[in-house]
Amino acid sequence: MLTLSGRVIKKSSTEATQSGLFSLSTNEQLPATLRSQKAFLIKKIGVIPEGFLHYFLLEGFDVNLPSPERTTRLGSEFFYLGNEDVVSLSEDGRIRSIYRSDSNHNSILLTEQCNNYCLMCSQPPKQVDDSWLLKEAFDVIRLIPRNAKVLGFTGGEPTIWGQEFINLLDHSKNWLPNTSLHVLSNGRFFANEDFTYRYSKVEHPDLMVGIPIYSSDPSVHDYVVQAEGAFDETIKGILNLKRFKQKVEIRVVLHKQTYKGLPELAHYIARNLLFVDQVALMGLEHTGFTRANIDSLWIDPIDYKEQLSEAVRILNNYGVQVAVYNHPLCLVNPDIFPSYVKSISDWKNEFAKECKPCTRKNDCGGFFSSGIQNGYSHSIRPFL
Amino acid sequence: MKLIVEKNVYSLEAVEKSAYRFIDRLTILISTDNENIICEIEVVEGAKEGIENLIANFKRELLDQQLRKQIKHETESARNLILAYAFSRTGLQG
Amino acid sequence: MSKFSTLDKYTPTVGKYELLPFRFESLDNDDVVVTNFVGEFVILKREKLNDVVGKKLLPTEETYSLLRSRHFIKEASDSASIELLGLKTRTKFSNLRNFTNLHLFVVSLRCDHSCGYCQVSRQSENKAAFDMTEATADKALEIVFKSPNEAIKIEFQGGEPLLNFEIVKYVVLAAKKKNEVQKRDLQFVITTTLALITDEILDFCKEHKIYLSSSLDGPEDLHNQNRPRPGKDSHARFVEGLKKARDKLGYDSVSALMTTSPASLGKVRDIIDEYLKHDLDGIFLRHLSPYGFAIKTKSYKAYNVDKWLEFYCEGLDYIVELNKQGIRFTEYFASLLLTKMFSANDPGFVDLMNPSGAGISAVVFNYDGDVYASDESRMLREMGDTSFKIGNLHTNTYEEIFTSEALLNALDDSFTMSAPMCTDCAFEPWCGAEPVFHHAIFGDVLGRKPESEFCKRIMGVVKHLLKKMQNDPEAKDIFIRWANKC
Repeated sequence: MLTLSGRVIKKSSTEATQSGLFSLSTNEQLPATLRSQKAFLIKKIGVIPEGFLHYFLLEGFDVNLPSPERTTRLGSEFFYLGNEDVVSLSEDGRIRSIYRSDSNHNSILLTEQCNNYCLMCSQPPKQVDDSWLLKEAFDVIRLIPRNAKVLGFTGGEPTIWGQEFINLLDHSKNWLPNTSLHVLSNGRFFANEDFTYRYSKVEHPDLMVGIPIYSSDPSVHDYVVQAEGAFDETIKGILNLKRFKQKVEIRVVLHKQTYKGLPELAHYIARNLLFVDQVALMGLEHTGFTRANIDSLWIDPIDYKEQLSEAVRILNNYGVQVAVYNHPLCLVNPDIFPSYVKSISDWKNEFAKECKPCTRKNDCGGFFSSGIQNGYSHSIRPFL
Repeated sequence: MKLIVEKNVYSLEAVEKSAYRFIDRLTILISTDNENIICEIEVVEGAKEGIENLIANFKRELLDQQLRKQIKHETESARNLILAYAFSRTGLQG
Repeated sequence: MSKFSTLDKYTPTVGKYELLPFRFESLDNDDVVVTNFVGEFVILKREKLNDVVGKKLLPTEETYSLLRSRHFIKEASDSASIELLGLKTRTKFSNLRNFTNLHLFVVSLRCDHSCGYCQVSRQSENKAAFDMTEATADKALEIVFKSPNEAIKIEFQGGEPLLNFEIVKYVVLAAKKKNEVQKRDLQFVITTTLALITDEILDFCKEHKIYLSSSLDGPEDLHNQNRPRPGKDSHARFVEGLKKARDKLGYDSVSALMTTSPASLGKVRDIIDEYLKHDLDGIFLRHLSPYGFAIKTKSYKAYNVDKWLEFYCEGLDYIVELNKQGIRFTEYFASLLLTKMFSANDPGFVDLMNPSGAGISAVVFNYDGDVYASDESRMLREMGDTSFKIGNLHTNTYEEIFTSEALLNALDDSFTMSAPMCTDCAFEPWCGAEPVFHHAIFGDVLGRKPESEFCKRIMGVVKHLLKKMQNDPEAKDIFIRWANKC
């Protein structure tokens, strides 16, 4: 599991007084005119080029630098950082990796506030004013390389920022016209037709919003997200999005509260929401609120593999694009392999000790690192 | 034969509809008096089932038709609302 | 104390739910099938239905959850359900806006066959008085391109269209010329016995991407018995023609239909096997329609619906077993019904539509210039009944034809949502108005549904499909695939 944020190593009080966002470079040949806008990342022996805005020094490369006030030392856990990455350095000595150019799983956190309170939330909501995250996002977008393929916006609930969120989408379209955007949202603010209309007016070339529905039974959905009326608003939001021809993905997290109703949910989607662009069925992440509600949520995926197969079969029969994420290969039926995606975000992906002799690790999505830490299926069996 | 049912239990509409359903097997003449609805029933020539069976099924049909009437009555406003949505210009083909 | 609420907090109060519009019909064993406003269905016990209507259903029951998700009941706070039902209703009727798609050109009544059940009075091959002229074809094409539908299908019928292939060519070329400007999605089909197919004809079909629709009634002896021709070789000619056509035009350029005759009953497996033998993807197990020679030769009276249902159900069960073995073979009549049962799409099959597909979905231009509301309508004409003639190409305009009394009255009066018994029938969303059939048998477009063989047939098949799905999840899976043409 990668450490995406942590503390810097301070050698003296004069080091690391610069703060803000930095685009990293490991290119010592970088033309001088460009150096003043970038930070140089030292992770190998060599000449240290002059003229950069800031220098990041990884543990093990202990050299003296021209300007200690423009130098930050980082522990070896940050060795993954690379060329064109974007990091944020705070005044009090914390570093956050915001964008990694060698990864397909970049997401910008826009807020930790949310109007749902899902039992299994991996990013538990906080009622704080974190508008600085939104402001920072505008700056981050300017630093992300133009060839970025895909960028995610997550939260909390990103649409909580209303028009400012739409402005951010517009801003992304301007600065990163070739980058696909994937927004994760509970969909409820889209129940407001005017908001959805303005969202559609961004006319982004490749924008999709991923919206969870946990059951076709409104009571069960509302219970899972801990908000009365959430199901209705979410459905209305989806209908509005489709009215304005926006791309929608439906996401379902599979756990004890959602697995039984999964086939019926598949029917519901097929009869009522056939126009959605895709459906994502996802394994449970054993982190955040999941830990507090583990008794209500945990079920060994091998115990719901029949419901999973049935749901995939129903959706396939109706021609709905479906993908299964975040499940170890040995815990699902082979009939879903065409829809199976090797998928856990690279920064939180690992394998268990039982997996050592497995011959199909390359096909497998592995585990959430949180699962390795906090508990996972007892039915893991390597393919031999 | 005659079948008599009470007006305050079965509606005339339910009786008529039931009679219609059985038109290929039973010929039913319907009349009313103060308290009752009277069905004069004859089996259609060539009907395959015996009269007892037919009458039993007819009685069950009466219950079904009463239930249908109740459902129809309760759902009338919902039906109108659905049709209003169906024919409005909401820009979504679904 | 936990900051999370339990399921109880979100569970609705007992007995406060409202009913959404639904209908029900009895099945066996105290089962009833309930269908909602758009034809989605659930099977319940009759007693449970009483509980549902009497508001005695508990929110903790599985049935409650099922009926709520499938839009049979709602809580006061459920606002999405009404909107979704409205949307699904729109989808169901959305094809109406496109109007007429199928245009049938009866280019000749002459035919080399003399099939016992033929619904067209056939004349011997020599009488050219029964051929369509270029003048008539021109007028017909004018009408075709007045249809607002983006997709236009021109189907050549007869008799045997190949006996007047000159006119077929004429129409195809003239239509394509007109289409250079109009740019519709234009398709051509020729219904033919394939007995008279030549290389020259196939070359033309290849050049203009024309599909062929033929007849295969079953194994050779049955087929030839049903479909006599001089030489008694209809089946052999079909097989030869099928091969030639596939070689030239492609494997799926030819489809086959069967017609059920009294001789077919009891042989359904053999018939299906024959279709498999010739690598056909599916079969339409048709009923016998009561028109033309069928009534004249009394072959229609020779069997009744019950016998046909036996025939059909045996065939369907056999086909399901084949599918379970991995053989992809569809029964097309079932798939029409299943499309309506499992989706909001209307397959657009003229005889199973409400409002009736007559005129709206299909129209027929007879060889003599008369225009009929459907293929059945012109067959009725061959029996001397022109009730469904809606105009003449040489004397009426497009507007006069499509707003003629004959058409509008038929559509209006046969509308199932306001027909006795149909309005209350749970299967109404899956069924259709059949004005021509009911007129032919009963003398009015509605008929008396309890006596109607059409009604019995649809109900019989539907109940069989439902029972099958109840007892066999694999069959249900196969059916859903058929419904979505997968």
